[in-house]
Amino acid sequence: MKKVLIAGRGEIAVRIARACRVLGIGSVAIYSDADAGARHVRKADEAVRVGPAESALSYLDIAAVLAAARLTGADAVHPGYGFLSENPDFASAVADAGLTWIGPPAAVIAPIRSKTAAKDVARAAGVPTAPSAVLDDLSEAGLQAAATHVGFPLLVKPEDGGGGKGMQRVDRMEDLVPAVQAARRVAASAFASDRLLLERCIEGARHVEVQVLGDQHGDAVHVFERDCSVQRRHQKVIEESPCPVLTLAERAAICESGRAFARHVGYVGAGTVEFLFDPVSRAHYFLEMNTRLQVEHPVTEAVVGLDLVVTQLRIAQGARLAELFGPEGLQQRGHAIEVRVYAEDPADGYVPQAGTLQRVVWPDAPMVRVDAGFETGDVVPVHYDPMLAKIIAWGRDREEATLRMLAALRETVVHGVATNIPMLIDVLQQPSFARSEVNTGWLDAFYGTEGPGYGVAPSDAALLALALAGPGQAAAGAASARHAAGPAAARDPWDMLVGLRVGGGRS
Amino acid sequence: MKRQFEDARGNRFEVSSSPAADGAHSVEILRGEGAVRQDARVRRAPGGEWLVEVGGITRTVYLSVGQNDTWISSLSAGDSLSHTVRLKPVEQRRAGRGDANPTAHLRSPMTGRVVVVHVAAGDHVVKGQPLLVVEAMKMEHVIKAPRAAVVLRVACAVGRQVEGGAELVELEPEQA
Repeated sequence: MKKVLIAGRGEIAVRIARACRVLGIGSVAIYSDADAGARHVRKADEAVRVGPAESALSYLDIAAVLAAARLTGADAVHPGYGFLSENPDFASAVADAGLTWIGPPAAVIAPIRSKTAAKDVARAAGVPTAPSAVLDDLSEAGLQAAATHVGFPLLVKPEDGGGGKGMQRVDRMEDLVPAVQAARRVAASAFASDRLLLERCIEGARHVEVQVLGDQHGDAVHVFERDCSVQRRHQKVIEESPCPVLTLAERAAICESGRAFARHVGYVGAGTVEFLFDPVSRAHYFLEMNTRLQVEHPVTEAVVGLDLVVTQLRIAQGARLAELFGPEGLQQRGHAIEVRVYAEDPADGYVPQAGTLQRVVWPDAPMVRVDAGFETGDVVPVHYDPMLAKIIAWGRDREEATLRMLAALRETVVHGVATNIPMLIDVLQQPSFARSEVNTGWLDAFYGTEGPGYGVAPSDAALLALALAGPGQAAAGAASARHAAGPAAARDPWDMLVGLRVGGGRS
Repeated sequence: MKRQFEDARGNRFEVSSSPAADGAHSVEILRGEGAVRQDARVRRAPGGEWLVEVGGITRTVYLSVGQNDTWISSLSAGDSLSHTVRLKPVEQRRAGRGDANPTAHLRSPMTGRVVVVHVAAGDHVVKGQPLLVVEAMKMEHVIKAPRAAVVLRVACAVGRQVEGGAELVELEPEQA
């Protein structure tokens, strides 16, 4: 493996280019017209345009991506996350073109793509699943039989869906028929199939997922768990490792379930087995497997001290897990928290923000990592996911990690687009977060539909700067300052100290 | 010169300054009911931050002046919840509303797909009423009426792909 084409954009493409550099492997970024000068383009060895801004004609165009690999002589493809990362046709096309696919082969992805098929595989692997049923018989008797089998409360879900779309909770038998009809309409318009499934609703469940790695020689290990329960409308916002509420025995059980699933499907590369954890019964239930690198992989890297992307590359080169980790294996140490910094306005229903970043200052502190897709001067396009960066803080315990994260967020500056940073600071200070009394519905319930708004008033210093250097003031303020001071300004110790005169030609 | 700014919640801040001795400026800050007057000096640091000095104490402020918004962040520990604030000059807002009546054309905040349209031409809508839903990257975004209005035209349809900035609905604002 000499050169890797990275089939993604934003922070993850930067992250993968860096891992390639660690191993002395070349990297090729791809970009659409909207990303022509983007940070991921600047951080890779080479970059190739794959099409216009619309992702269907650029990042999702398999032929264009493979043409970029041919042009640059790349001999391997890393799919990143999103876009084509979980598309078995892309995995096959890469292999058919004679390139190394950094991930599980299409034959591994295909059988676990649908939620129901993956559940069947989980049962076969001895991994616990919540009671569920596919709705094949849509007669009232058929629905009732399925609901009785699953039990209330239950969720009606489009089989092909994601992101909670079309999902409905049903508490009583009499509400079942209308809920099924509504969910079918959503599924038919939004997804490839209108097939539905019923699944037992685990009330107050936490989202706990297990990082797994499989090699090309049939071995698979788990790399411990992550808790991603702080979600906004089914999108993860804060992730951490370890899960704060598991006992040692519960952690061992859930991690072993993840490993068993990976081994059963012959998994190759890095993947994540997602579970719901019931904090009352203390049981865990298989949800689905993500056959790619996850956004939140850095929290695992922080507590285990393992570079997961370098490991992906080594596995693709044919390395054995036993050689990579040795007899002592992997250990979890301390606590790590990740926040996702989104360009969105929490004061306005989280509407995504696009525009030029006039000023960005990411935090730079001990035990804090920033994976950023943008810096000062970059443009956030309207066309893609609005995530600007991830910030990861490590501590010897959860409290220390939380304090470090709060400090990091307080020194982060993003001007030009609104961000969710005020919300992140607010959440990290909540007693419920400190006690980790959260579940996947907590954040939405906490803020209601309106979002947290902005609770921050400008400081006196901010308003003084605004008065003297704000719009319409910068030139005038500076000029009058020098004028008023007259020739004495050159001897002003304050002026000497800074070495740059406002509005002056000399620096 | 007095200048007025407004934050996202509609809080107003007024600042004015006049030259004082030794290159300092006398600045008056009005927030809510209280006014404060301080003698301050401001200098730009090599990295572009503004260094604000009052009575020998310097604080660092990040300030970015955009076309519509001014962004300020101050990181000093003296600010209880120091973070970024986005302000709009008040005059600018009035001028913007006067010419093209920008709130009358609701535009898609991002490229996505229209999944629900709640209104039709001729409908009266109240402020905050959901008009339609645009979906992008698995996320649904509800487009709400910015004020009481009559729907003149719906410029999109369910299932249609829309570009960021594309017109979705045209409204004629009603006097409250």
